[in-house]
Amino acid sequence: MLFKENFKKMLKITGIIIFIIFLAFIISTSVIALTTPKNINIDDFINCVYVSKDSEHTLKIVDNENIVLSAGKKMQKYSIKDIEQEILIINDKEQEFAIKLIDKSKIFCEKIKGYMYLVDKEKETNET
Amino acid sequence: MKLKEFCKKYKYTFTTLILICISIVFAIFIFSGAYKDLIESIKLAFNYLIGIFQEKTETTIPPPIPIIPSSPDSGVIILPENPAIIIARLRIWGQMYLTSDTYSFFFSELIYYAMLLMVWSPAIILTFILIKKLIVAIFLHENTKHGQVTLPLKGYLWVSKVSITPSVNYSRNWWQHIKESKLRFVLLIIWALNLNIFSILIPILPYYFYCCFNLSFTNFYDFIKFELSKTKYIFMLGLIIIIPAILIVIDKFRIAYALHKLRSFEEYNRKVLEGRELVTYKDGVMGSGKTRLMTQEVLQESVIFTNKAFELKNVCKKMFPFFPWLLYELDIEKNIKEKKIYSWASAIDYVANLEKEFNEGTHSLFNYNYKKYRNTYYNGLVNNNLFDVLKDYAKLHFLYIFVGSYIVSNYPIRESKEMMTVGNSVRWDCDFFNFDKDFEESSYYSKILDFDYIRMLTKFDESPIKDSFEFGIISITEADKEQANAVQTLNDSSESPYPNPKNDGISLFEKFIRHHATIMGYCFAVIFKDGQRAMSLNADTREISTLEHLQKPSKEKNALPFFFIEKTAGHISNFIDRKFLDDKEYYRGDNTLFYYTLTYISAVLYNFYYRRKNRYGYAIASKILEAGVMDGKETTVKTYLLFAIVYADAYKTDTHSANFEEKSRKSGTGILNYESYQKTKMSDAELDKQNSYSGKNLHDPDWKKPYIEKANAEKEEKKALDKAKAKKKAKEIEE
Repeated sequence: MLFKENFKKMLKITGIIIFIIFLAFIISTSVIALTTPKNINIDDFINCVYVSKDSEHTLKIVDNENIVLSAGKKMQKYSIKDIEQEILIINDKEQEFAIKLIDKSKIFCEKIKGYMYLVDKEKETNET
Repeated sequence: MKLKEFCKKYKYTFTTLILICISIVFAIFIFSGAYKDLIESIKLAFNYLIGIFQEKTETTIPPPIPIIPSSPDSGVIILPENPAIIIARLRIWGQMYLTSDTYSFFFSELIYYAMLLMVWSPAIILTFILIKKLIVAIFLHENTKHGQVTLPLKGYLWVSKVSITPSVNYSRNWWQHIKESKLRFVLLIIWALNLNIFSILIPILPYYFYCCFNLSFTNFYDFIKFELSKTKYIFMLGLIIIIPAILIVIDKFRIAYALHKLRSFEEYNRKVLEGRELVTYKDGVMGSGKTRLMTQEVLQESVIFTNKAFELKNVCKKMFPFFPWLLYELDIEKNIKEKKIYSWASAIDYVANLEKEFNEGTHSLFNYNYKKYRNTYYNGLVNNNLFDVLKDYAKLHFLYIFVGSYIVSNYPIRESKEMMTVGNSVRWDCDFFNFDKDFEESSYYSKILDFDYIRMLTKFDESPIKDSFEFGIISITEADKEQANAVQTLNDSSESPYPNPKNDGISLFEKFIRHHATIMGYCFAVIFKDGQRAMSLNADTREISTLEHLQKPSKEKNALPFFFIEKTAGHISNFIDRKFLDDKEYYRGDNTLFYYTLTYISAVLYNFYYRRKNRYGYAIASKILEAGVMDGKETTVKTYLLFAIVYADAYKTDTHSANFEEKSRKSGTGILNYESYQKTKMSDAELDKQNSYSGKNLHDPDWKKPYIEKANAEKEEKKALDKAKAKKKAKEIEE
């Protein structure tokens, strides 16, 4: 009986901890996705090259009006339709897509449905 | 002198006027922008209203939204100009959950902070131990300076006496004053304008009407953006005001939710009660809460009676809708005040007299035009005569406006209800969860149950007063001791010259109760009893009752959502007591500022927990219902035990304590004077002092002999005396 009681209590506590972690996960993700980070300026991202986790895709913000997105060996230039706060709306033939600037080191690209990370600027420039 | 008195009389009004002036200064120098916003809002509302009537074409221009600068000054929540940005954010938010990196980031951060906590926790624990040691070293100097106050505490008490206490008292009194003063509206309006509340509220309704015809995401987004931009003055107040304000609002919601929940439980209980039999008997082990649950049911039954009387009065009113019921009610109340109506029977006499006077033409029947509005009512089956309905109404109104309790019990019960009237009809506030009722004014104590009222045959007192019971809720605790079974009443008989359970006719009263307590088919009488065992009741009484075998109630629960907040406060208070205050009590006899502060904090936290635990607490009880004939058919019924009803000084579980206290007082001794054992091995003398049967059997198996001999001798003596008396009497008769 005592074991059963204690087991129930442990189960309850574990449940509460899992629930709190789940809640924290939802909140932290929504904060990242829905809020504008402080001191985001598009000029700081110009000429920065970002690469996806699998290194399949590379993205370069050329200037305030254009970006270059390459998938494997295929490279395509896209024009920026709108920039507001930390979101870039990009024109595409099929459907517009968005890029969210999270911080200088990473961005989220809707087109490739994932994060992209900053690669060493100089190295990238040399490769190009 | 007059000026001083004048100032004293109107000091709170002056305070309010000063606050109004300060608010106006704030309005001019800080919140002036809010007034410009108000004009913008009115313009926008007007544009929306015009927009409703504009013909919808593809080129229809939506009402112009005032330009909102995208600067941090335009409000705390800054929405982008382009609604597509928001949509893009939402799309990205959804996609983030499908990316493994999101989980990696989160869990790596979680592990990092968990590690940080693990690293820091020994240091935190160590710091706490050190603080505790430091406190012990600094503040726990042993002394026995009982009642002495240290210098810092003296200083604080002096400062508090001249500044904090008067300020707090003044603020409290002012708050009470402003709650009733009309000047509060001026203050409220100024601050609603200052904080842009009107600018936020004004366009809502026009926009609602506008969007009924022209709903689009763009105009909805623009509207929300506009509304959010107007919150800037609220956020200007700063977190120190906003956070407590938000917490207060959340707390209000929690309380409203808890009250709603408790009220639904109470309604459920009432529905269960409405299906009850006329006589119920609760039994259960000691401490199962029989009297507690019975008291709750009795109090709820009282509310049922009040509501039922009101409901039936309305039925009467619908039969003769144009009868001047209010004048009739006022006349009944006048007669009650003059003590001409004091019971249902006297109410019937009053109506009979009214009918006689009306027939004789000496009473106008409150100017009722019976020729136009009829004096009979056809209910679909039979015709009801006006005066018969008036008789029922008089009885119902007597019951309804009854200033007192319907409860007649053998232990005191306190009812809490408040009569409300502005001089016309009367209403009762019977809400158990209205905690603002005045305790003294709303308290009605149950009537003393003279058991002769419910004895139909042999009574202690045969006075006609004892036949006066007409309606009410009879509540008898420990009923098995009153209506004992055959074994306990072996020496009594129906021929006994004194009342006893075999000849008093209480069960006859219970069988007939419906006959004298019914109005319009509803019986306004009910009997609740409780006792230890069902079989302790005599068979006749038991078989006409519904037996309710009580089960132990569930653990205490609370209707407040997130009650762990209050519980945590209670735990912190207990922690302070355990870790600091108990030691202080033990080591120090004087009072210090540090412990004064801790005591204050502990008390505030504990009150926060304890008061809410009592107000919003409940437990789930269950009772197994069984017919008194005990034929084996049982039904389990759930019922809610609501602390706000039973623990609000409704009854005392130790109601008979006065009797025992008196006995103890008369004894002149107490446990302090009882003898103690000398060792763990009992001596023969100590066993003898126990006066136990088994002890006496061990000591002297013939211990009963002297008692029997003494009793026999007394009997013989009595016999001889009786014989002598009889002889003397016979001699006297002969002479």
